[in-house]
This record gives sequence, structure tokens and C-alpha cells, in this order.
Amino acid sequence: MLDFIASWVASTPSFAVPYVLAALGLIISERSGVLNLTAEGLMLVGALVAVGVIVSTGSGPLPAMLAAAAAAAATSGIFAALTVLLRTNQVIAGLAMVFLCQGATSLVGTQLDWTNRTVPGCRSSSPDRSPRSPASARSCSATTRSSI
Amino acid sequence: MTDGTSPTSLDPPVATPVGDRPRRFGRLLVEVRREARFGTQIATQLAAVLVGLGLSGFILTLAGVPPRELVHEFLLGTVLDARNLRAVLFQAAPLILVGLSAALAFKARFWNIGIDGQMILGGIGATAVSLSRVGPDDGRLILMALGAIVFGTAWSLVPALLRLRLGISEIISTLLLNYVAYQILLQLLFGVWKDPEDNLPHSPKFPPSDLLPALPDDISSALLVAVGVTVLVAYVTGRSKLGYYMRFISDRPSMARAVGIPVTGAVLLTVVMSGCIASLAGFVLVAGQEGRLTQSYFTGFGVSGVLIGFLARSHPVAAAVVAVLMAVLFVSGQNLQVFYSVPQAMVQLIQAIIVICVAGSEFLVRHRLRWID
Repeated sequence: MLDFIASWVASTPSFAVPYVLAALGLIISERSGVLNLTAEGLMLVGALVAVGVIVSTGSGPLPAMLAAAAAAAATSGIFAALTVLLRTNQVIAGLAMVFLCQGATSLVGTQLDWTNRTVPGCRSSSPDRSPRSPASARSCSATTRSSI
Repeated sequence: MTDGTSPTSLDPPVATPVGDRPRRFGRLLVEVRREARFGTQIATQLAAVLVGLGLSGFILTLAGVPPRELVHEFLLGTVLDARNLRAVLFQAAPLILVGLSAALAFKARFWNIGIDGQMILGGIGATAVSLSRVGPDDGRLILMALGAIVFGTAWSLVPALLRLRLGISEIISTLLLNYVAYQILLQLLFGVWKDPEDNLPHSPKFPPSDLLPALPDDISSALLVAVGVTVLVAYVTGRSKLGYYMRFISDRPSMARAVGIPVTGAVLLTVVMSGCIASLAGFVLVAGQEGRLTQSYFTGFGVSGVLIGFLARSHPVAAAVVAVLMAVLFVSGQNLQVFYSVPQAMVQLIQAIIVICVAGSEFLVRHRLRWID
């Protein structure tokens, strides 16, 4: 029982981080009055680009993280142009962006053979925890369709 | 939420941020159009669809599909080939239903993003009836449809009541209830409904009596359901008193309340009908395509429904037409996947590109661009 509680508490932060980051991003958007439903799609873009950078350049996690953030920000620029400049309905634009990102990441991932690749990620220092690290590779693979 | 589509005709004409500085090459002036002619509107949107298709074709070419094959795959291959045409009609039925579901909810200004969840609950309801063998074999399909409707409608009632009673945004609640519904589905499929034959997380196969029968020419009878619902929705929105209320509520919400239209009841009824149609989509997928409850039969249909409803301007007959075109896209996508190993998600990409182009083109409908010196 104590083991269970210990591992539960220990694994909570790593599960919480994606939620925290996504929520913070959406809060910024919400503060400017734009309802942002694109988080799922932008997370896919970030995951794909990070894995792509690591796979193709063999770099560490930091450049991959920066590239992922830049790519997702650029993608978000499409959403910003739609909602802010063209005043498109925010719900429609958000849902369309999710579809756009799902399709685009799946296409790019398959074409460049970045899917189902194991990357060291941020946990390269502790190989015993490796079962979690393929998750980032998985999220940009063809399994994107499994999400709602 | 600030509404991006609110009528802008009362806004003062907007000048570009260029300001009043003298410019060498003149400047672009953006004016609000007082009224757009219907013809202009249609032409702009058709142009937008063409631009979207062009972009998609370009991307497909980059992905390795020969440009000459594109026309073949998308037009001739699907519409003229009997087998593919059957596949299109097969795919069209659930797409028509989800499109109608979304369109109907939009009519009452209710953003039903929870079509996925309502489809899941619909599938669960139908499966519950089938697995517990309620009623005679002959009438079980009807009972399954009813089971689907009861479950899915109840699911759509939750966000409707949350919004009407507590003022909770339906966009958030319907979206999040999708995940709850998905967890319920997994709980059932990994638990009591796990198939004892192969021990995989999907329900046992339905007996033949519980499957939607095929019509002559091997067309799924799900299409009949879809056409029937289309006619019904067209009648409700076009001719009935409820349809009149919906138009009033979506055009002038505060005035509708002031002149005594039962806004709460009308919105509730509309959302319940929307949930009912979404659950029927779940039913035809489970009983018509999969033959059992699976983990992913609903995937992609919810958002597709919202996009179809948007492209069709919430008009039921237009939604049915757009849904058939989407089905052409789906089948072409399947063929492309087989022949050129382009991932199936390409369909979503094309859908998204077309919707983004059409949504963006509305700016040109609502505004006039002029270059002044």
C-alpha cells in the first residue's frame, strides 16, 4: 500500500506538467478574449517537431524543446490570423486547427519516418525510467487518431 | 466568449492600422459591407473551397501522389466506380447524421462539441439492448435505436441543463463530457463487455438479427435513417413553430425573451434533438458498420459534424449534401492510403484546409477591400 502511494505521489508531477503547460497557454489566450480550443493540435505539433529534431540532428532535449515551442507558436499564428485578423468564429477556427494539426503531423511524421521512434527525451540520465520516454514519440505517430 | 460571427453591420468602417501617414503606394482600406448579395456570398465561398482543394492537391502532390491521379481518385474513381460509390453512401449516413446534429444545435446558438460523447453513449445504449437480448429478434433493431436515443439524449441533456440553469458554457462542458463518455466506454469494453471469444477490448459480435440490413444493391439501410432524419430536421427547422423560435432566438436572443418566446424550452428541445440525432449516428455505426461496440467507431465524426454544420450554414439539406461530399473525401482518403500510403489523417487535413479557407473567406463577404491612393 505504501509502495503504491509512494509511486503515485512520485509520478504525479510528470503527469501534471503537460496539463499545467497546456492550461497556462490557454489562459494567456483566454485573457486576450480568444477561446482557444487548439491545445491538442499544438501539442501534437510540438511533439512531432521535438522528436523530429532529436531524430534528425541527434541533439539534446533543450534545442528540441525550443524548436517545438517555435513550431507550435508559428502554427498558432494561423489561428491568430483567423480569429483576430479575419474574425472567424473562434470555435470553428479552433476545431479546424485541431484537425489541421492532426492531419499535418500524421502526414509529416509518416513521410519523414519519424513515427514510433524511441527518443531519449528529457530523461536520458535515468535509463531505468525509459518506459515513459517513448510516449513522446508515440504521440506524434499514427496513433493521433485515437484521441477524441 | 466573444462571438466572432456577430453582425458587424453596426460597427463603424474600420481603417487599416496603417493610420493617416502619407504613403507612397496608397493604402488598403477595409470597409464593412452593409449587406452582401447572396450571389457574392456563394461565389466567394465556392472560390474558397476551390482554393482549399488546390492547396490540398498541392500537399498531396508533395506527399508523392502524381497530380494526374488526383482528379481520378477524387472525382472519377469515387463517383463513377460502383464499388466506391457504395462506400461513399456507406460513409455518408453517419456523416449526414452528425452534420444534422451540429447544424440543429447551431440553429439555437448552442455549440454542440459533444457529438462524440453522444455517439459513444448512443453506441453503448444500442449495445446494452443487443447484449441483454431485450424483446423479439424482429423488433430488436428498433429497440436498439431507442436505447441509443435514450442514452445519447440523456448525455446531451447534461450540458444543456448546465447552461440553461447555471450558465455554464456549453462549449467547455460538451467538450469535456466527451472524455468522460470515452472513459465510460473503455470501462465497459475492458470490463463487463470484453469479448469472451478473443478476450480483446471490444464487445462480442452482434447476432445477424441486430445488424442493420442491406437494401437492394447492397446499400446500407443506415442511409434510409439518415435521409429520413434529414427530411424531419428540414421540416422542424423550416416549417414548425420550434423552427420559428430557433430563428428568432439565434437572430435576436434578448428580444426573443422579451416578446415571450419560451427560450429555455426551445433551446432544451433543440439540444435534445441534436443529441438524439448524434446518438443515432452512434447507433448506425455500431449496428451498421462495426457490428459490435469498438473503441474507436466514433473517432473524428464529432469534429467532422461541427465542420459540416458550419460549411452548410446550419441548413439541414445543405448539411446532407456537404456530408455526402465529405464521404467522397473519406473514401478517396481510404483509396489514397491503400495506393500511395498517405495516412488516413490526410482527410482531416483536407477538411481543415477547406474549412479554414471558407471561414477566412467570410471576411471578404463581410468586408470590402479597396486600394486607395
